[in-house]
Amino acid sequence: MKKKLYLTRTAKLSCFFLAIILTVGFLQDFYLRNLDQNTIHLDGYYYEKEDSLDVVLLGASEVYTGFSSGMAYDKYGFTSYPYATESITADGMMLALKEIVRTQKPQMILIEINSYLYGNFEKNQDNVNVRKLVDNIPLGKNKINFISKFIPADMQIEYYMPIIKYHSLWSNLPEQARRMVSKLQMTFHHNSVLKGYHTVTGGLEKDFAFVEPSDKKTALNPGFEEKLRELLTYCKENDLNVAFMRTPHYIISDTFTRSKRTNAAAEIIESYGYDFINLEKDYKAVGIEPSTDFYDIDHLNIYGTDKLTDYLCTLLQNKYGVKGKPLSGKVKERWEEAATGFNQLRRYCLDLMEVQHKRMSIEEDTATLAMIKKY
Amino acid sequence: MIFKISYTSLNFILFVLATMLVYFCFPAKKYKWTVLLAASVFFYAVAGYVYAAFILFTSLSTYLIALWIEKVSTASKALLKAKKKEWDRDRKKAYKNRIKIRKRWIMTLALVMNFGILAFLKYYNFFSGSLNDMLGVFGIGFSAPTLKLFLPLGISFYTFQSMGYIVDVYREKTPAQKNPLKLLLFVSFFPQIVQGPISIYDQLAVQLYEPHEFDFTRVKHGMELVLWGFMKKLIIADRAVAAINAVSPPIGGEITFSDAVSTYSSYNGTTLTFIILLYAVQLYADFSGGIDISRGVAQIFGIDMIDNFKRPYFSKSINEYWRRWHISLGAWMKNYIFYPIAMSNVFLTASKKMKNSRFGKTSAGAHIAKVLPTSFASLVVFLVVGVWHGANWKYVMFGVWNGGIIMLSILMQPLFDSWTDKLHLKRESFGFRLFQMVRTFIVVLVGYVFDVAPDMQQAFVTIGKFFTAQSFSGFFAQFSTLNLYGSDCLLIALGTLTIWITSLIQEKHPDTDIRTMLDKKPFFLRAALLYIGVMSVIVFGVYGSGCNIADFVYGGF
Repeated sequence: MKKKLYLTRTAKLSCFFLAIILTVGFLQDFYLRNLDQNTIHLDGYYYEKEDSLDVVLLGASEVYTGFSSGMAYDKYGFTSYPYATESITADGMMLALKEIVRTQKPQMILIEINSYLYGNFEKNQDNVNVRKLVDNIPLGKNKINFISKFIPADMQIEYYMPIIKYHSLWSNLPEQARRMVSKLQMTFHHNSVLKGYHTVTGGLEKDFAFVEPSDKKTALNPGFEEKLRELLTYCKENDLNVAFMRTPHYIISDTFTRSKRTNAAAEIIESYGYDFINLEKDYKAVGIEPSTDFYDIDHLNIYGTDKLTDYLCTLLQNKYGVKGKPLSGKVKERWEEAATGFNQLRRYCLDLMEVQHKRMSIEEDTATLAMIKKY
Repeated sequence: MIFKISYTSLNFILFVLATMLVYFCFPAKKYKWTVLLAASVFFYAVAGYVYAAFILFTSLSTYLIALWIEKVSTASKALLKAKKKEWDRDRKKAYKNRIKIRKRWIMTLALVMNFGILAFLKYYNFFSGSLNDMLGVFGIGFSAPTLKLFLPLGISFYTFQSMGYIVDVYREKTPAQKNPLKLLLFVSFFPQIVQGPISIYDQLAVQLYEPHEFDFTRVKHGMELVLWGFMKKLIIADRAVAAINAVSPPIGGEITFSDAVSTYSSYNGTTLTFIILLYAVQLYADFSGGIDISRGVAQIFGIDMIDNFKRPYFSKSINEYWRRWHISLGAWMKNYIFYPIAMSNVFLTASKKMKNSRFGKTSAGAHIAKVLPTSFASLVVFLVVGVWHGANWKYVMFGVWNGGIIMLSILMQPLFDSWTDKLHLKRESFGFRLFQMVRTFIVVLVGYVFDVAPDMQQAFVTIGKFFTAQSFSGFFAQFSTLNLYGSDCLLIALGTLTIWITSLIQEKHPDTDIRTMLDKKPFFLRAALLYIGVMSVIVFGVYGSGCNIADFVYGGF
């Protein structure tokens, strides 16, 4: 009798706690979490089949706004993905590179160096930017090491249980719900159609004076220089096939110093025997027209994406010998879907920009995927 | 400090679970209490080990002085027994008096030392400031220095509790505890150290030292009470506190007293009325929520602590309100301040004299003579309660307000009774009881003004604004500065409604509690309610690094 009572109680308690754990787990994964475009970008990356990517691009938002994997596959036949989050920190770059190494064996990794060009080293500890990356990385050795090394002890629990930090987002209904649906859709399909691409339809909103890049150098902040050297050493030690780059930027007087730091960074990178592709300086070679190809001073718009993707793909093929692996079955089907998806997206963006004159942020969500099908 | 361990933190939940595991698995039943002691010492050390010296001093001095009092008592009794035949009655009486005085001196030593520490840490700057102001008026240039003092965690609560024990030993109501570690557990028991309830030795100590076995129903009830406390504190209190702090910013850090006054005085009467109402909800949810957590945790370990609240806002008089609000403090004040004053020779003699005077022969005079000791004792008690709330004249006024109303209501009771009779009001009718509740609530709200306002002057200005500066358009214009969003208002309203409904149910069934009533409901209903409760705390609670986590209001006492 007593045994039966214990068993019933245990069963009831187990069911109760299981219901709580499942609900919390669902909410933590899909609703009460850092749910933004970065989530969609990185989720898409982790849905790529292991060791299936030919090229991975690493960096901040310049990368996912300037490069289209769908277009690269369509025109050049190789698979790629921008592993990038908004304002990724220097420590975050190392974590991201380790994640790339853990999940893929790409022929080439292209690293954008934006994270090392800030004047103030505090940028590296910016919790918001750290979370944009770390919250979207699946739990594993790299993530655990990063949290224990860089996150203050009293905040670490919030990285393992993000609901502690983000539960108050329950009231941010329309935005969270929209992204939850997109995330659910992506989870269901186990695939990203736009391969992490994000853009804004339109040009520069202010009439900034463009400053021509120069060969002048300004030393990197010592903290960032140390971080860059750490990354370079890691690449060397692991014999990674990498090249570094700086994407085109619309340089203004306020950001000119950053451009001069790029030249200093190039020297350091080249001293380790790696190539540095400075497209901020060589923007003309890419064909970038500063007055039309940016939607803000740091990001290329769809015109710029076309040009940069073309340029980088040609470079990857001709200089680094990147060749697309033959694909078949579902993987091929998905990359073709990505190619079609990007072409549809381009037409949609051009329609918004040239016909409707509508400035909109475009990312992979349910509404956008439904909309681009009309193009 | 390694990590924070406030009652509403995840660390605290893990700490309680770990303590539970060790306590219920501890093999030596006789020494189970040592697990609670170890947990209490750990909790106190983590919460602020720098304060440990104070609680250790109080525990040690209480332990030694209680033993001393008992030793004197025992020795005197033995001597009296030995000299039973030898000494005459007068000599015995004289000896007894001498012993009584000696014991009183010993007790006073403990009271002076321990209340002295509390008074110095809590009130020194208040008195030095007031002294400097007073001397300034007379043009005297002397200035008492202001010191940077800190208050050890729970100092008011453990000092009151320890001194209550000393008085009980003095009164021979309880024997002195022979084991210093057991006394340390009584003083530092972790669920009550932050904000009480202030327990009486007789009620708590026996339970603490008894070995309790795991009891599913008791543990479940304890956890349910903890959950209820979390809901009150995290969903309602910590949400409402943002608005209260927006209107009356806590002084400290970058906020000076003049900043606080300037912010507070910019609000109109309607906004201040709203804030005082919100404060009534916030304070109750915060304090009773914290006490629910404390009592729930204690219950898990088989210890029933005194219930500090009995639905105080349903009170029909201010006297009743103080019997339902912070019951343990009220009981302490009654035992150790009220009765000694009301029963003192001074007042009993004064009462007798008045009764025998010409005035005492009138009906009003007879009543006043009869209730004079109790009404005066009430006023003193509330002055002490006011000062206990904080070192500021506004708290003195808070005491005067509450004590004054109680004193007046006792003195004028016959007059109120005759008015009620003349107006043919039925005392048991719903309408009359509702009127009494609303009237009492308004009196309580006026008292709260002294809590919320930055100082006494602003408190009086606020009361004036209630009558002169009401403006709904102004309120709506100021609402955006209150840090309250639509979702917050909705949750506070729903939370308050839930407390109100459960309070009504509890009021109708005073002999049982909601948890016992819930046990009789079908499993799925109970599970659903608990599921909603747990998920509400997780989703709607104010916690985590992005939130403004508020300390318990009574946690800094």
